[in-house]
Amino acid sequence: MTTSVPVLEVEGISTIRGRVQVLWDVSLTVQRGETVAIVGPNGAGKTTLVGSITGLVPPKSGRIRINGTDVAGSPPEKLASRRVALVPERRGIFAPLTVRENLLMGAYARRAKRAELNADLEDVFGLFPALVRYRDAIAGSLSGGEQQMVAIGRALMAKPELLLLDEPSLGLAPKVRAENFGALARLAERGVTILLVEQNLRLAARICGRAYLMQNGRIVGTETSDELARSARKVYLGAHG
Amino acid sequence: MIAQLWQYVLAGVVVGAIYALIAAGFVLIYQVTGLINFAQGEFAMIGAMTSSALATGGMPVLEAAAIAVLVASVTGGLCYLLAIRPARAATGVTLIFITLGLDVALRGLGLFVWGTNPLSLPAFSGGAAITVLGGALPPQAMWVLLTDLLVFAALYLFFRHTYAGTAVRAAVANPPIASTFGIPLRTFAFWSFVAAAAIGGLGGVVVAPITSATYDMGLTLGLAGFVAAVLGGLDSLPGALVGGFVLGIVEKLAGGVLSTGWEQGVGFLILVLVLVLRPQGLLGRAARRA
Repeated sequence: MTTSVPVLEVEGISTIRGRVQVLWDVSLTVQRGETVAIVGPNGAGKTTLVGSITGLVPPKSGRIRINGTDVAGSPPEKLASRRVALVPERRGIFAPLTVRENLLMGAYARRAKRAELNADLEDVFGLFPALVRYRDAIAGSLSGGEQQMVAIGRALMAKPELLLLDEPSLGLAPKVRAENFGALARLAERGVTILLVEQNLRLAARICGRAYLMQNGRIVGTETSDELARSARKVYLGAHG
Repeated sequence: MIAQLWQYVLAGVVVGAIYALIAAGFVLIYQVTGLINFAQGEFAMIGAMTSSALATGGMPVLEAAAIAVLVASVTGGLCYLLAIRPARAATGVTLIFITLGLDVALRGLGLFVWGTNPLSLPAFSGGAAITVLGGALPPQAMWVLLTDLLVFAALYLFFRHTYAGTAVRAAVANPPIASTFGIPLRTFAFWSFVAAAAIGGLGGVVVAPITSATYDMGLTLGLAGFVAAVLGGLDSLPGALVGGFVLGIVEKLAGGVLSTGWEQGVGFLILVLVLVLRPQGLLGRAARRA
């Protein structure tokens, strides 16, 4: 196990949305090359936690370190320069832009040369071959699953050291979900550090080494992927047994 | 009768071309910031007055025009930095009132600097009137239409074929997510004011030889530009072009056929009708972003 600085360290953050405190003293760590899940029911505060890490919903207190630098409260514009990329809840693609333009926007902060960008585009199309024929299609006209591929591809164009995914399975058909998680598994194998927010325990267990359990705005436990898979089975049998 | 109507249409095309430029400024700022800048017409006044004053002082017309556009652009940038950006946490209505205040302030500044006397700017080129299917256009009309062509072509190329233009469209489509990819929303907001002011200033410069320049011309031009932008769709640059020409032609026809009193009134009638019947405008999107 590496002894280097964690890619992400969240230390005791509390976040308020409107007048409601959503996060209470949340701490977690993601090491380089890890794939970590945050699981929990609706309203647990998972998306707010992602918002706090990205700067979209700045925390009221606590520290967030990315590669050792405290970034708590810094604006989202700084996120990309710290090599963190977000796949937001409900995809958040740039609907009027083409697929290719969406992907290129992922690389905005890199200021890379055109040849390099083109090579990266081909990498993304290699990971998601289904997108190739939609290269110049308006992204808003694609199906939910394809839009999810665009959102993941766009984040990859940022060449992130940390990839944040917020509920990537939400609202997708099982087959499409499986395809997209297959791509995420390949990314994890390549060594991309991933923090995955997910309600679907079975999918999370498939690609994550360990998971934090969230409830009512607090981290209430951690599980290994085997424990998570067992929990998923229990939840499944509980729901159907 | 037909010849007379055609002459009104031609006059409307020229006026409409100016309205389209002002409307383009409204649309640019609205798209990037979500704000309706009611000071837009004053940028045209600054362009017209600066160029006319400089040319009256003996400067060649094209040089005076270039400096006037520069002055308008700087004014636009300062408006953003001094009045809009410090109030960015304010609600939409407050920001609209700030732009109304800017409008009054810039008009007052125009009065202070140039006084109440109209200034004139020589036409960019001489020669006889241009005949189009029996109707006549002043030579300056060609400059007005050429300016429209160049401005809208430049905007199209920027938004469709440049990386920065694509980034602006991304920022318009989904501001928070665009920001997480490092797309600088505030920088774009600043440049939208500069560009809108430059385009407005250019409109003022090219119209000055036709209408002459006065310190209060911005109010009328601004309102007409606003109506044209709403008519075409506040989020559509092609809509600004269409809205400008439609408004210009309808105004001139109403003024000619009914009475000149209708010329300005008809614009507001159109505004009410559009807001009631088709609030998104002719070419705008039905769903607006929050």
